[in-house]
Order: sequence, then structure tokens, then C-alpha cells
Amino acid sequence: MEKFIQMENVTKIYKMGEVEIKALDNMSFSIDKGQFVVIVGPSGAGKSTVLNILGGMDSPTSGKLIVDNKEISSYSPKELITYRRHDIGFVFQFYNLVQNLTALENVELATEICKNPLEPEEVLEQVGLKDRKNNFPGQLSGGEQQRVSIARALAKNPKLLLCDEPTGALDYNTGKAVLKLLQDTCRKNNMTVIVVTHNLAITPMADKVIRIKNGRVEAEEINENPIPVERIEW
Amino acid sequence: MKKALLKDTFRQIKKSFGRFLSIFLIVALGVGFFAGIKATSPDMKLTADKYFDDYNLMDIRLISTMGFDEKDIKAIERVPEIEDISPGYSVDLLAEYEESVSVVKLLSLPMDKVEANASYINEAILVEGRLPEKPGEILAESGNGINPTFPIGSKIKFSTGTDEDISDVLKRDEYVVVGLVNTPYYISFEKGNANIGTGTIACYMMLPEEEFNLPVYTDVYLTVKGAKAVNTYQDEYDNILEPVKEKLEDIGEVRGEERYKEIIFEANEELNKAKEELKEAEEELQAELSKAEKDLEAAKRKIEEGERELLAKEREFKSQLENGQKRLKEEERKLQAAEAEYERNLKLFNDKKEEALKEIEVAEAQIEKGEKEIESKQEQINMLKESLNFIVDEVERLKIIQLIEYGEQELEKARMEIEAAKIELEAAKKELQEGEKELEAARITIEEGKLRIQEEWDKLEINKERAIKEFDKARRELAQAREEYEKGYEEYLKSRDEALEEIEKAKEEIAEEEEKLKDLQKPKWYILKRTETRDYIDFGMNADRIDAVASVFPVFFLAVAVLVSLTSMTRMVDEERIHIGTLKALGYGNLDIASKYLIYAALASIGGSIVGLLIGFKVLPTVIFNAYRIMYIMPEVITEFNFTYALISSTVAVFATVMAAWLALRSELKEAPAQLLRPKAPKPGKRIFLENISFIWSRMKFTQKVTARNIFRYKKRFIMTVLGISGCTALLLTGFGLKDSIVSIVSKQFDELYSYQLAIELKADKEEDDPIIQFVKEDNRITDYILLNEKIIDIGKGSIEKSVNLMVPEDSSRLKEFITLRERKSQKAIPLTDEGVVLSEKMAKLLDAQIGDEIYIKDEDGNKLNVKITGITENYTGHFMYMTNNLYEKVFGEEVNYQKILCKTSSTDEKFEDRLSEELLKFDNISSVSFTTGVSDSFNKTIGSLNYVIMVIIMTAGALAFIVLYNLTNINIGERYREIATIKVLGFYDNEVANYIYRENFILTLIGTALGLVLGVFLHKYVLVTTEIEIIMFGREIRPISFVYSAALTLLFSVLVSIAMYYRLKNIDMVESLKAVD
Repeated sequence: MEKFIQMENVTKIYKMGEVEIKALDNMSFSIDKGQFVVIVGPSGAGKSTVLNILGGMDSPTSGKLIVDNKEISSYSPKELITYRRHDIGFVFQFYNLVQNLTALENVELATEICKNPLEPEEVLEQVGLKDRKNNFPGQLSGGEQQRVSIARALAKNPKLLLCDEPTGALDYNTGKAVLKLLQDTCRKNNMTVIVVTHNLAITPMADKVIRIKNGRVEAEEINENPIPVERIEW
Repeated sequence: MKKALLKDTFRQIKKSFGRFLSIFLIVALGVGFFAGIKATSPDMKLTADKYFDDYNLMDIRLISTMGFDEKDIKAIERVPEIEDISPGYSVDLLAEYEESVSVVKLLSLPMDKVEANASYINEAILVEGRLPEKPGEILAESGNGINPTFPIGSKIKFSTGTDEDISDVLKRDEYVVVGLVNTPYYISFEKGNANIGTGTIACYMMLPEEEFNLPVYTDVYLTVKGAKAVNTYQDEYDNILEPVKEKLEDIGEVRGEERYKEIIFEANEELNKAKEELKEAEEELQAELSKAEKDLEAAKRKIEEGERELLAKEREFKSQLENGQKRLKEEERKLQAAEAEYERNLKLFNDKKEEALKEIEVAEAQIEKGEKEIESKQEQINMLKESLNFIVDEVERLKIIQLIEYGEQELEKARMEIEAAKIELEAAKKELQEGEKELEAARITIEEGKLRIQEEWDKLEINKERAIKEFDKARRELAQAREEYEKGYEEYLKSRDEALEEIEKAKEEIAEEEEKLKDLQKPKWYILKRTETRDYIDFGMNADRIDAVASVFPVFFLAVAVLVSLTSMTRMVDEERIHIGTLKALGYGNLDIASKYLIYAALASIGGSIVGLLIGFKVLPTVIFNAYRIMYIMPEVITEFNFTYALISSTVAVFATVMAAWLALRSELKEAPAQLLRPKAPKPGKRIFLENISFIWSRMKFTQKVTARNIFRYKKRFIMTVLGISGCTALLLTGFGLKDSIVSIVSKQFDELYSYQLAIELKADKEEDDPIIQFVKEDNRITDYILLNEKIIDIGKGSIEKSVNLMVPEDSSRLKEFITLRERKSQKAIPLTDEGVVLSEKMAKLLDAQIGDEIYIKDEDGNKLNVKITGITENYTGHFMYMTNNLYEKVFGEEVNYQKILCKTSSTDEKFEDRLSEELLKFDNISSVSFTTGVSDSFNKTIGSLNYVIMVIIMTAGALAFIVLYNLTNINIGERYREIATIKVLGFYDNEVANYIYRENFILTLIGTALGLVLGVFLHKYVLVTTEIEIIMFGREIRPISFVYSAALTLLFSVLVSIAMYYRLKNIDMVESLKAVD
């Protein structure tokens, strides 16, 4: 089976004035379509950089990234925007909802610009926020906000859902609920979901776990039997 | 203040330099603009004052209807307050240069002082070339140094433009320009009017005093002690001059009286002399004439004699000729008779001859027969004789002898007879011959006679011809002589008439002079203070106008500066929330914490103020003054650091900015440190009222909804932007509107209200058969005219009294064809009736008078005569009161004297007008000719300089819009960094991101622009009312295109800001911004 995502020898170097920081050092891994992948590693290991490059928010300094048979690493900035627009869904640690828009409107913000979006109201219903759709983010709890954020990402009907510490700002239960939502989405919609976290506890729920350290892949493990999130505790 | 905090403050400035700069700049702009414009007017006046002082502009100028003589000067010199006195000449002359003629004002230059480098009044400032060194050299006006009318080296030929000879005015008539000068005496390009040539003075020239040939000084210039020490545009200056003027007026009164007497005395003496001279001339002429007459008479007599003689000779010759002819004819007749006789004789002779010849033949035959008979007889005789010999019978012999004898006898007889016949025949032949001869002789005689007569005829003919020729010649000569005589006589008659006419004219002139002398007015002095000269007043008014503008505009800048500071500081305090919390947690006091932001604000505003003041005080007066230097010949502006305005503006700005910082801080400082350390809860989204109107809201696009919510969410920003933008638009509209209003004065006054093109002022009142009226009536270039009486009178209402031009048309019903009287707002025509007067709008406003009010008119004796106002008419320049002649007569109790003619002309071409003007000015009774085109042209020039002021307004308005929009966008981007990053991550293209942010700016700009247009209308009105000078009413309307310009420019500024900010948007780093927590 052709790999859905292939990272080949990707290196990313940030220049901070005189100093060069090697965020990714010759990193290679692959992900299959419909996999629930967790990328773990300590702070500064390059987790976010991987996510940014996967999401088209940043380009590698060298190496190749192929997503769905397309070489993303050679995209122009404009092509990268189009890539983000149609193929990628993002879930942030701090939700990043537009404060001035209601839950529904935040979802609409995303659906307005893509090719075949899902019905925003339906997606909100899916994430269990049917009754709160006309509330502003300020009127919602953190978990609810994160669910709006996920709904916003899902409504785009992306090929790839990228989540950066989605539970980082949430309490235990809410975090769990959010993770369940993500896992369910992956299973139901056969969507490739990548979660970046430093929380090792959630690795058992993944189809594949990629451990990185100092910009390198330390281990690439496949979970033959992922455990549903309800059964995981941390 | 703690050291660490101070360090932190400076780091903060460095970190947020953009924000610091925006506060700094808006303060600099506000303060600089306010202070700079405010300082412009004092700077302009100061510059003028220094210029006037440096080059000794007169404080007082005296002119007199009859000039000034030495005694006048002496009298003036006795006034103790006078510092310096400088009498001089000034004349208007026509100057011909390169075949074009222009009117110049020729001023005298006191060369002794110039050469001694001493100061003198109204100094000439040499700009180019050199001063005159020898006679025949002259100085010309330099103006602004570009294209002088007469460049150096030009030869100028002067003429007076009147009957007067140029030698009465100047020592020579041609001068060469050797230098170009300026003088404080003329600071404007308008030199006023002259009554020669085209009537407009093109420029002035300066000539050494010695080159003038005038008997008296025309002008006296004075400087007054202590006047230089004060600024010429301060009231104090006029206060110094006024008492001197009063003293001079008294002197003028006295000197006028004395001078009058002198003039009368001198004139009388001169008149008497002239009379005597005239008498002598008359006598001389008489003598000459009679001699000429005598000479002519003699010539005539001689001609007549010659004629008579000729006639006699002719007659004599004629009779001689006739006699000769008669005689010849007689002879001819005789000859003819002789000829006839000869013919007859010839015929007769020929007849006879034939007979005779026949007879002769017969005779000859007889003779022959006779001879033959003789011969036969002889033979018989001979035979007889012989027979005798035989016959001897003597009887027989005797018988034969007898017979012989007888026969012989017979023979003899026959012989004799033949002989006789022969003789006879011979005689007859002879006779015949003789007769022939005789006849021949007679014929010859006749031929000869004929020849002779022919000869004589010929001779006679020759004589006749010769005589005729001679007579002809004689006659011709005589005719010539007569002609000459006739001519001489005619000449004599002509010269006699001429001489007599001249004498008559001289007599008339003397009579006229006598008449004039009787009418001679006392010389009148006019004392003009510097404050009463046009250039001075104009310049002062222009300076004041700038000042009025300055009192309105900068308010915007200060208000916007405060708002910009407030929003910027609020944003900064928001950003620094955790920092403040940390400091608080560390135990710093509120004041210590606040001091950072207060210092930040203070540094920005103080720095901005200083820079703004330094630039504003220098740049604005310079720019504005340089704009005015298009109209005025002035040195560079002197810019002063004006402490009053500096203090006012910077205090306001610094106070306002620091206050803004304090306001922004206040709420934060109240909170507990724990609260502060937590990120500030984002300002919750709020529904706006628009959402309740579902039919609009549901129709709005999603992004439009976002924009609408954002706009109403941040009220401070909303107000700042709308105020800033509306201020910008209002400023622009005011600028354009000002131009419209001032331009419309010209077009409305001269195109709409005045339908005439030419105004003629008469010196004396119109007389019945004035040649000017004839000219105006008949010349086809003037299509229509009306007579008016115009005079300046004082009118008043209550305690207010003003001067106004009273206009009384000869025919009130026709006035509307030349001057439109109408109500400005309704445009309804106002009739001029005997019921009351029609007043011009500005005057009515100054008097606070309404239609139906009574006002008083002051007559010459100061009596107040009441009239009713029946109409208030639209009018932009000058003050007028219109009145019917009936009402005039009723009010003043005197006849109306018409001394002004308004004319419509067939063309407004410049050459056409110049020619017409020249022709008109040849009339003695015309004092001035002015064309409305000329007036409107000079006005338009003034307005040209306004463009610069408007440019300044546009530029500052642009700067205002720029700073406000920049600040707004900056804050918007700063505050919504995260939001922008998010939508970028969501896959918004760059232009979509820009739209997302800019739509808000754009709508705010639109609202601001719309509000600005409304605001601008009021601001425009306010500025008009405050800047209007008393004599002018600006147009009240703004052209629609000006609204378009103002709005378009504002939008353009906003687009420019958007473009500048686009790159900032583009460069927002999604990754970084999503990581951080606010």
C-alpha cells in the first residue's frame, strides 16, 4: 500500500540571527491513510515543527514531504495556502476561535472557503454542540471551545487533521472527551489524524506512535491493537 | 524611579518603536501645524516690517493737486516729529520699448544721497546691473527677477500720452536701462491705474532727480521719529502717525491758501503778458497782411495791362492781315480780268490771224499771179522789143515802142503794185507777228502777276501763323501770370484766415485761462499714512487671513493626536498587562508602574512637540510666505520661534497624551495582581443592534457580519478613525471650498451680476453735449451704455456707520441690463423703486439691517437723512447702495450729476480693450477707464497664490489621514494578530486576509468621509466668515466637484495606507503567533 504521508530526510534549520538551530535533523517517517497517529517527544524535540511542515505552515530546509502523492515540500507559498485550505484541518492547543463570532460562525469561517465542506450545523451536532451554536466563544467552556475548534477543522472535510496539544489547556475529562471525538472521527470518516503531544499516556490509543527527540525520529511504533480512549487513564 | 524600570522604559520604546513613532508623529504634526500656521501671520508682518525699515519706506506720503514748491517743503520740515523728508517726482508716462508701448510710473531718485550711500526714503534696492552714472541712464523694476518688463540694456522712449511735450517733464526722451531695482514702496505687482495709454501701470522705473523738468515736486515722502521702533502692523504704529498726519493737514490748509494766492497772482501776470503779446502779434499781422495785399494788387494790374496790350496788337494785326488779303484779292481780280482780256484778245487775234493768213495766202497768190502776169507781160514786152528790131516802121515801131513803153509802164505799175502788196503782206505778217508777240507779252505779264500774288499770299500766311503763335505765347504767359496771382491771392486769404484764427484761438485760450483761473480750486494736500496705502493694507489682510485659517484647522490635529495617543497607549497597556501584574506582584507602587507609561507618552509627545515646533515654525511660514511672494516682491521670510504658540500647542499636546496614557492605565492599576497575571479575558463577542434587523443581517455575507461586529465593538477606535478621517475630508473640502468661494467672487460678480464690460469715470459731471457721450453713442464697439452717479457716502443704522458706494442710475428701469439686483438665495430679481434703497448683502449684514428697516444717509453737511431698505442684493466685492434718481432728489434735495458711464462692449479681447481704452483716454473729461476683465484678471492672479495654501492644507490633511489610518490598522493588526494567524492557517489567501481586515478600515473611512463632507460644509462656512475681509463677501457655495475631490483624496489616502500595511499582513508569522498565549 502506498503511504499516504511520506517524510524523507527532512531537515529544518531556523536561523536566529547568527545562530542556526536545527529543529529537524534528517527526519523520515511515513503514515498510512486513515491512521490515528500520535507524535510524542519532550519539549523542544521538534514536534511542532513537524506539525507545521505537515500542515503547510512551514517548508523544510531540505528533504521531501509527500502527501497523497503530491510533493508538498516543493510547493510555493501560494500553493501551500491552497493546500491548507482544502486538505488540512487544524486543531490548536488554545482553540484560536475568533472571539467576535459565534460557534456556528466560527465553523462557517472555515467552510466558506473550501471546495466541498460539510454542513456546519451538522458538524456542530456531531461534536455535541447543537444547543450552543449561537454562543460566542467567551460564553463557552474550554472543552466546548475546543470542540468548536475541532468542528471547524472537520467541517472543512480535510484529508488530514492535525492537532497540536489539543488537550493541553483542558481538564482531564474534557481532554478525554476531545480525544474521543478525534478518535471517533478518524474511525468513522476514515480520516488521517495526527496528534502532537508530550503526554505519553495517550499513546496506546494511536495506530502509530512516532517518538522524536532532538529533531530525529527515535522510534516509529505500530500499535496493532489501539485501546479506545475511555480505557486509558493518566 | 527605579533604575530597572527606567531601563525597561527605554527598552520598551525601542521594542515598540513604531507605536512610539506614531504618537511622536501625530503630536509633531498637530503641534507643528498649529504653531506653524499661527506663527505665519506674525512672521509675515515681521518680515514686512523689517523690509520696510531696512529700506526706509516712507511713513507718510503727501501728494497735492498742484505739487509742492520749496516753500511747501520748508513748511513741512518744520513739523518736529519728522525724522526725514524726501521730496520727489512721480509721473505716469508711456514707455516705448521694442515697438510696444506700456504705461510706467516714473519715480525720482535722489542721486546725491544714493551716491553718498546715505539712507533715503523709499530706497531702491539694486538687484542687477548698476546705478545710473551719466545722464540718459535709468533703472527699471526687477519684480521677482523673472522676465522684467525692461531688461538691462533696453532703450526706452518716453512720451507723455497727452498733448504735453515730453520735454516739459524730462530732460530727454530716451533712456537706457542700466540696472534693475526693487523698492519697498511697491511690494505688489499691482501698480494701480493711470489716465493715459491703456490705463494700467505696467511697472515703475527710477530716474535721477536731475533728469526731471517739472516745476514742482509731485510727492513728498516722510519718515516719522519713533515709527521704525514699532512693528508697522501694530496699532501703535498708526497711533504714532495719526497726530503727524493731523498737523500736516493743518499745514496743507494754510499752504494751500498761500499757494492759491501765489498761483492766481502769477497766472494773472502771465495772462496780461500773453494778452500784450497777442496784441503785438495782431498788429504785426495786420501790417504784413496789407503789404501782401498791395503786392498782389500790383501784380494783378500788370497782368490786366498785358492782356489789354495783347488784345490791341491782335486787333491791329488782324486789320493788317485783312488789308493785305483785300489787296491781293483785288489784284487777283485785276489779273483775272487781264487774263480774260488776254484770252479774248488771243481768240480775236487767232481769228484775225486765220483771216489774215488766208488773206496773206490770197495776196501771195495774187502776188504770184501778178508776178506771173508781169513775167508774161515782160515776155510780151520783150517780144515786142525784139519785134522792134524787126519792125522798122517807125510808126509801127513807134506804136510798138509806145506799146512797149506802155507795157513797161504797166509792168512797172504792176511791179510796184506787187511790191506794194508784198510790202503790205510783209506788214500784215509783221503785224501778225507783232500781235502774237504782244499777246505773248501779255500772257507773261499775267503769269508773272499770278506768281507774285501767290508769293504774297504765302508771305501773308507765314506772317499770320507767326503772329498767331506769338499771340498764343503771350496769352499763355498772361494766363500763367493770372493763375499765379490767383494762387497767391488764395494763399493770402488762407494765411490771413489762419492768422486770424490763431489770434482768435489765442484770445479764446486767454479767455479760457481767465475762466479757469476763476474756477481754480485751492491746492489740496492728500496725506497718506503708510497704513492707508494699498500694498500695505493688502499684505496685512493676507496675513490676517492666514491667522483666521490657523484658528480652526489645527484643532482637528490636536483632537486626533489625543485620540491616537489614547488608543495606542490603551493597546500598549493591554499588551503589558502581565508585566504590570508582575511588577505589582513584586511590590511596586502604582505610581512607579504608571511612570513607565507616562514617561513613554511624555517622551513621545515632548519629542514630537519639539520636532513639530522646529519644523512647523520654519516650514509653514516659509511655504505660505513663498506662496505670497508670487504676489509680493519681498525678501525671504524671517521665521521666529514664537514662544507663546510653542507653549500653548506643546502643553496641550503633552498634557493630552499623558492624560490618555493615564486613562488607559487607570483601570488596569485598579485590578489585583493575581487578576493581572492571568490573561485578560478576551472581550466577549457581542451582538450588535443590526442583528435584530434580521432581513438585513440574514442577507449579509458572513465576512460582512464579522466586519460589522468589529466596527461596533471597538468604540474608541471607531471614534478616532471617524474623527480623523472626517477631519481629513473636512479639511480638504474646506480647502477646495475656499478656492471655490473666492473664485466664485470673480465669476459671480463679473459674469453674473455685472453685465457691463467697461466703466468710464468722468472728471467733471456730464454735460449735455459731451463728446464722450457722442462717442459712446456712436462708436459701434460700444453696444449699450447707461449713465450713473456714483459717490462714496456714509450710511448707518443705530451706532454702526459705514462707507458705501451710492449708485444712482439715470434710468432705473434699465439698470438691470447692466447690474443685476437679486436676492442671493432665491435668485429673485429686486426692483429698484422710489420707495427706498437696495443695499448690497455684506453691507446689510455689517449694519445688521433687514428689508424694511430704516437706515440713515449722511449728506455733505453731516445731516442724517432716513431711507427705507426695500431690497438686499447679492454682491461680492465692495459695498453698494442703489437708489432711483427721484429718491435721490427727494432725499438730498439736489439734481443728480452723472459722472460714470457703464458700457457694454462687443468684445473682451485684450487688444480690443487696450485700443478702446487708449482712444477713450484721449478725451479730456475722462479720469479713468476700467474694464471688468482687467479687474477680474488681477483678482484671478491673487487667487493663484491661494493654490499654495490649499496645497498645504491638502498635504497636512493627507498626513492626518495617513497617521490615523496607519495607527488604526496597526492596532487592528496588533490586537488581532492571533485571529489573522488563525485565518491564515485556515487557508485564507493573502488578499482574503487583507480584505478581512481592510473591509473594516474601508467602511470606517467611508463613514468618516461622509461625516467629513458634512463637517466640511460647516467648517468652510466658519472659515469664510472669519477670514472674510470687510469689503468682500465670499461665495457661499462649494462646487459639487470639490466634494468629489475631497472624498476621492481621502479614499486615496486610505488606499495608500492599505498598500503600505499589506506587507505587514503578509508577513504575519502563523506559527509563532499560534504558540503564544495573549
